[in-house]
Amino acid sequence: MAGGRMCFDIFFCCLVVIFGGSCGAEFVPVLVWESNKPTDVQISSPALKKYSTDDFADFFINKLSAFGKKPLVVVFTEENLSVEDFSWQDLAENSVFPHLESVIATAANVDFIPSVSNPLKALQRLEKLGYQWQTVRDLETMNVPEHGGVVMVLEMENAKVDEDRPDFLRRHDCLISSVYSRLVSQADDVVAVYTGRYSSWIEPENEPVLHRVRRLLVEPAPNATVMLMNTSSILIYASDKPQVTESDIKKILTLLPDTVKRKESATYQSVRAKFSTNSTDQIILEFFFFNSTSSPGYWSLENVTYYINSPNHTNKMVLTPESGIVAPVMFSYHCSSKTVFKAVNISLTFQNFQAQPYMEKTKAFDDAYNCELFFTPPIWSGLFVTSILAFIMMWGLAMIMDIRTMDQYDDPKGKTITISVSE
Amino acid sequence: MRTTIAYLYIGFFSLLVTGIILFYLLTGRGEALSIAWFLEETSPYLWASTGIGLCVGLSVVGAAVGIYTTGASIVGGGVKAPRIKTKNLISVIFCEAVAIYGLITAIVLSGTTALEVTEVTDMVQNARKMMAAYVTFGAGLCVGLVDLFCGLCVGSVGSGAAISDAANSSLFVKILIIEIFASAIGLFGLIVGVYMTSRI
Repeated sequence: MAGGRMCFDIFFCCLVVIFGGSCGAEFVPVLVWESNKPTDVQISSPALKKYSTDDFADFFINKLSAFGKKPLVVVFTEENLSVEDFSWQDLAENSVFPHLESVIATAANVDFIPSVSNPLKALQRLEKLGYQWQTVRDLETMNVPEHGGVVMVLEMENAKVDEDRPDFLRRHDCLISSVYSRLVSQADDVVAVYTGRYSSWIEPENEPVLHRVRRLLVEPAPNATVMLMNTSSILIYASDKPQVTESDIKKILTLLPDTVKRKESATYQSVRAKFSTNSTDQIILEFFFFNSTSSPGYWSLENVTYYINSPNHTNKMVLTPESGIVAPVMFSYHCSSKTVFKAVNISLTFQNFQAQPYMEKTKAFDDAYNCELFFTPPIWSGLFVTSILAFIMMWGLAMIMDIRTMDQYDDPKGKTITISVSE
Repeated sequence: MRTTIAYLYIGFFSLLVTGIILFYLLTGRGEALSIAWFLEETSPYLWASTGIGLCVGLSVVGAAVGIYTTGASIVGGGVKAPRIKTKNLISVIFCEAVAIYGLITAIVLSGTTALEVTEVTDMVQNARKMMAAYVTFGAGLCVGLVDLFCGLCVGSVGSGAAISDAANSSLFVKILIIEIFASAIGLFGLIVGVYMTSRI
C-alpha cells in the first residue's frame, strides 16, 4: 500500500516535470518585412507584448490577407536568435546586420516583434490556407517559384568551430540579403520573415574562447617555482623545482623554457629540456615515455636520462624511477608525495609530479592515476580475510541460535527423576 | 532470524564490493580493478597463512561437529543401555583422527613457510615464492574442507551406530564398516595436501 502510494508520487512528479518543461516555452524575436506595400493600410503591432503562437498567427495571416494575390513568403530561421543580437554593437557602433538594415530601409511594413512563442509553428498554419511549404536545402539549386503562394523556409546552418557570434551573424546577414535580393528581382510580392527556433544566450563574448587556453599555458614567471614542460604531445608538471642530490651535493634545477624539445619513435616519446643550477653547470634531462608492448594501452615512464655539462666534463646517467610510473593511455600519472628517480649515487626528486604523454591536445591533463591508491593491496587482503572471519562468525551465531533446551519432558510440578547408580 | 543475519552478511559484502567496483568503473578507471593485480600485489604470506589457518580450523570444525553428534547420541543412548559407551568410543576416535590430519598438515605447511627478510626483486624467485604461497593456500584449503565434510559424515554415521547399538548390539560391527569408508575420505584429503606440498 505504501509502495503503491510512493509509485504514484514519483509518477506525478515526473508528469509535472515533463509538462513544466514543455510549458517553459522559448520566446524569440521575429522581424517581418515586405517588398511592396500592398495597400496604404498599415498593420502595426504593440512592441513590448509577449505574443503567443496564436496571436502571431493571426497577425501574420492578417498581413498576408492585405495582398491581392498570395505573395511569396520566405522564412529565414536560425537555431538561436534573441533581441540582444539585434541591438548588439561593436566598438565602432556597427551592428551585426548592416545589409539587413539597408534592406529594411527600402522595405515596406517592417514589423519587429521582440518575443513570440514558437513562431515557426504559427507559420506552419499557412499550409492550411493554401500556401505551399518548400524547404530550401541548397542555395545554388534553389528555384524561385514563378507565382506566389509558396512559403520558402531557409534554415541557416550553425556556427563554425572558431567563429564567434558577431561574425556568425554577419555571415548570415550577407546570406539573407543576397537571397532576398534574388527573390525580389524575380517575384512580385515578397514577405520575408527572420526568426529563430530558440532564444540565444545573452551578450556574446568579444574575445575568442582561445583566451582561456592561453591562460592555462602561460609560462611561469621567472621567480615562480612551478616546473611545466609542454610540447606537442607531452605535458609534465611539478609544483616545485626538481632537486638533484649527487653524492650529497644538493642542486635545485630551474627549467629554461625555450629549450624543451620532443622526440618520437615507434616505441617511445621523449621530451628533453635544459635546466640551470646556481652553479655554472647546465643539466639536460630527457624523459622517456614508452608505450608498453607487454600491456598494450599503457604508457610507462621508464627512465630519465641526465646529462650534466659542467665546464670540465660531460656526464650522462640513466635514472630509473623508484616505483613504477605506469598509466593507461589517455590518463595522466600523478603523485603528491615525492617522485624519485635513482641511479648509483644520484637521485632526482620531484614534488607533486604529474605527467602525460601521447596526448592529442596538451591543453590540460586528463584524469590522473594516482600513485597513492584508494584501495591498496593490503586493504584488499584485509577485506578478504575479514570476510572469511565474518562468515565464520555468522555461521557460529546461526549455530548458537539453533540450540534448544530439552524441555519436552520437563514438568515443574512433577517428580524429579532419580537415576539409581548401578555398578 | 538466522536468515536475517545471512542476508545482512551477504548484502553488506555485496553492496561494499559493488560500490567499490562502480566507483572505479564510473571514474574511467575500470582497468585498475584487476584480479591479476590483486594476486600479484598481495603478499604471498597472506595466502600461506590463510591456508594454514583454514587447514587446522576447518578440520577441527568438522571433527568437533562429528564428536558433538556422536557424543550426544552415545550419552543419550547410554542412559538405557550403558553397555554401548565403551564400544562406541571408536566413532569418537575416528572423528578425532580427522582433526589430527588437519593438525599434521598445518604443522608441515608451517615448516615450509618462513619469513624472508630480504626483498626479492628477481622475477624467477618471485614466481617461486608466489607458487609456494598458492600451493600452501591450496593444500590448506583442500585438507581443511575435506576434513570438514569427513568429520560431519563420520559424526552422523557414528551417532546412528550408537543408537542402533543400543537397540541391537549385533548391528554395531556392520555399521563400523560404513564409518571406515567415511574416514577414508579424510585420508584422501590428507594425501592430496601432502602431495601438493612436496612440490614446493
